Amino acid sequence: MRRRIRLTGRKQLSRTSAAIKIMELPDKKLLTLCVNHPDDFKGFPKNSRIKIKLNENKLVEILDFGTLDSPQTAVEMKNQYFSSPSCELRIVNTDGDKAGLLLGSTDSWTLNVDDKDKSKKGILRFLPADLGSRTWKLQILDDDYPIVQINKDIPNPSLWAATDPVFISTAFPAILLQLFTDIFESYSADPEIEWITDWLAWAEVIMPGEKAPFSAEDDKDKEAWIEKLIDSFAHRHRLSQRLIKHLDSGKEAL
Amino acid sequence: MWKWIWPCVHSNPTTEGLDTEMFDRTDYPYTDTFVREAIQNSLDARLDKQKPVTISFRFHQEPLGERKPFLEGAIAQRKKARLRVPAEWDEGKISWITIEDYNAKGLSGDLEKRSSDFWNYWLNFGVSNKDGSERGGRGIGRVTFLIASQVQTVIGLTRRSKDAKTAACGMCVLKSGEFDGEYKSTHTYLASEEDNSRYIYKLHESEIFHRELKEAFEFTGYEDSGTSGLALAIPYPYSELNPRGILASAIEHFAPAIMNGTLQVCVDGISLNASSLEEIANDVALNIHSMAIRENVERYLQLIKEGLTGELVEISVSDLRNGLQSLKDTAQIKELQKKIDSDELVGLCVAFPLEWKREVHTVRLKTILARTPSGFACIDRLFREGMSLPDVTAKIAPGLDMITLVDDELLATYLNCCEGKAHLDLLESQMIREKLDGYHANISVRRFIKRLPSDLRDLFIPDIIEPDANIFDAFFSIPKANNGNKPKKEKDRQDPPPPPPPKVPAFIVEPLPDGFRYKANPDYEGWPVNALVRAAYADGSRKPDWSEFDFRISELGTKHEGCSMVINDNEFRMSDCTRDCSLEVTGFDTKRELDTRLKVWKNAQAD
Repeated sequence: MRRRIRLTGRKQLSRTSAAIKIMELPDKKLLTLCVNHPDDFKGFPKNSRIKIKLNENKLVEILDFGTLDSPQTAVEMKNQYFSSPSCELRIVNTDGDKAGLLLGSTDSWTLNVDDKDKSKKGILRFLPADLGSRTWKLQILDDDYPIVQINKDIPNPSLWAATDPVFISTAFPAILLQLFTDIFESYSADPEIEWITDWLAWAEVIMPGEKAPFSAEDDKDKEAWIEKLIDSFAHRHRLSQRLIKHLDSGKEAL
Repeated sequence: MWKWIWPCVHSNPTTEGLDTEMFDRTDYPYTDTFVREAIQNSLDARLDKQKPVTISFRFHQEPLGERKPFLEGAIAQRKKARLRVPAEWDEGKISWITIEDYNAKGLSGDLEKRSSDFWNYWLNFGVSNKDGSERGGRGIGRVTFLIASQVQTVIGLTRRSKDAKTAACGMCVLKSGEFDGEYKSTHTYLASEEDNSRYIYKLHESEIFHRELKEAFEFTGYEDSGTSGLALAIPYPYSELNPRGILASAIEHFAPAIMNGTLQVCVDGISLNASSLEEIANDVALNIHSMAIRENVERYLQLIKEGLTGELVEISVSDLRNGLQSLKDTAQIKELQKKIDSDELVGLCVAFPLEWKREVHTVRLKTILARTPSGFACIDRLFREGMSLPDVTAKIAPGLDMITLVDDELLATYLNCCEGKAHLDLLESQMIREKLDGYHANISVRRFIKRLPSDLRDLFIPDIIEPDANIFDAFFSIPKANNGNKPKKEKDRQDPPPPPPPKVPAFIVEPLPDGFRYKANPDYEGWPVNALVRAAYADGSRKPDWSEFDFRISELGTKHEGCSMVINDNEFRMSDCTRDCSLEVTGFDTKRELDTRLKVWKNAQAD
């Protein structure tokens, strides 16, 4: 029998509390972070720092993703030659005598470059496309998952679309509005088409217990449901805070 | 018995074990690493550039006999250090591999100078001949030979081209520690005595030693005048190393050097050279590690042949930051695109500027491109002077086979500086940047070459039209029904039998503010029992080490009842524990985490 006794009071975090990925660009590698379960981080002081420790073949790098209050989504890795580092998410105290104390951490696991998370099924597709002067466009198909087309002239369009705070905080709510409006207009009941069923399952996770009101006679009920879904999504991913932080950092640069 | 010297460490720091991580990898079989290092060392030491360098691998298995005097000193020291010795040693048997190179320089340098190439090889780990003009110099790769041996030992005999001298030495990995009243170092050496004034060893130099060493390990070279090279014996090699694997690795990683007559590899009498390459490649194809090459080895060789002898179209790149972007949609590229679309091979000579020692030179590399045949994986290899760098590939490689050959001496020297110790990839670490700064060279060429496989595909293959389902999955995704695992087979879907009831543990562990308490579990019925509790501060490993500098039990608060207790280091041995037994230990450092382990056993039952 083995028992780890946490004399420091460190909290064990689940690996799924945040999604962490390595993205490889031609001349650099980035580590991206997306908080999946904000409730997992509730008990910690807001100014605690989020750090990710990478470790491979005796090489160690700790990346700082800012504070819990305003986390960063992507940080450049200094060691470009990590290929499959082990990864550990840490929450670190910044206040008073116990600055530097580890308040919470996950077990470590192995990350791979461009690793596709096999336990997840993406329900929104990405495609670089020639869009002229437009930045992005949502393409809703009858029998396949919706596609967000991104102007292919944008440098690294996939990274930009997945991490840019302006795009995430403004385009994603618009995509949800457009998508669910289209679904409610096209169908009066769950059509049991795979991609729609998956989107409804996703909405159930974002907004537990709120079934999609296909049968509601008043369109306002459907609109209210979509509004609520967007609010929940924005709250979960702290969309406005991301944008504000990004704008603040732009001001500082000026 | 020939003497092995296990020196004292004095006040120098020690590093335990071998720096094996860069060679002992899950993504490359060990045979590949072994062959790559052995052949690259010999290629770097090639003497007459008009003739091939020959490297011979031979596997032997015999009674210990005349090998014993050369190894028993090292084996005795390994036993003293409590390191593993194979059972065959005590049974009087031995297996070994000999590696000998011909038309090679041998281990050169002043035998009485610590900083010479000879002693760099045996004593100065991580130091190799790197003046920028030559490669390798038998640097860190020697570690691969030590890893290959179950007794972590290598013995070498060299005849040097410069002075025709013969010299022999051996090295065996031990561990540092106090033995026979002295603090010993991590390695032992086959030598006659220490030369403390020069910080080296005096070698066994007698003619009889050299002759018996050659005969014992069946070294066959360097008898004739004018011949030179290095012969190595690796005792008790691991079973992963076998003749077919060595041939396959040589073909996978050195095919251009074999094909252009620079290299010949002999394995247990089979000679792999330009004329036998195709036949042997077909024979050992199944042993090749890369699936793309294994499945279509003939095509792989055809692409390399085209690169070495075919006609090439020259394209020039002046702005390395933009890569090949400026060539997109040009008439030249459209013409080449048509050729690729009609399944022709296209050979390119890519010319670009390289700044080296404050001068800008135009350097060139060759690339062969062709559509990947339907149903086959994509071949994607870059060779620097005939040796492949298998990690320089496009991350996404749809539909286009590509072989790149770098033979330009200056460009090869530059890339060698970027390769790191394992020579698998082009890296960009601080150390490499500093090295390039020393030559006033820019990192932009490394970046250009690293992304060349992707850029060439972007140039010749239309935009990817398949949507990507993973870009947004951090925001828009659902768990997969089977959680990413393979679907279970029908027969596995039957309801499993109910699990046995959980075993009731004898003890319950309770954390205290600065320690822990083990208490008898009231639900447990098997009393009396014995128990062993170990405690150590957690260090992230599965079995954290304890040090007396962490804590001494005598300085902690311990209480026990219902058992008799013996304390030893970080262990509490509890005997005859009864149902009211408990152990409480307090006073640990609350800034650290504790790892406790409990082992419970019962005394043998009397009839």
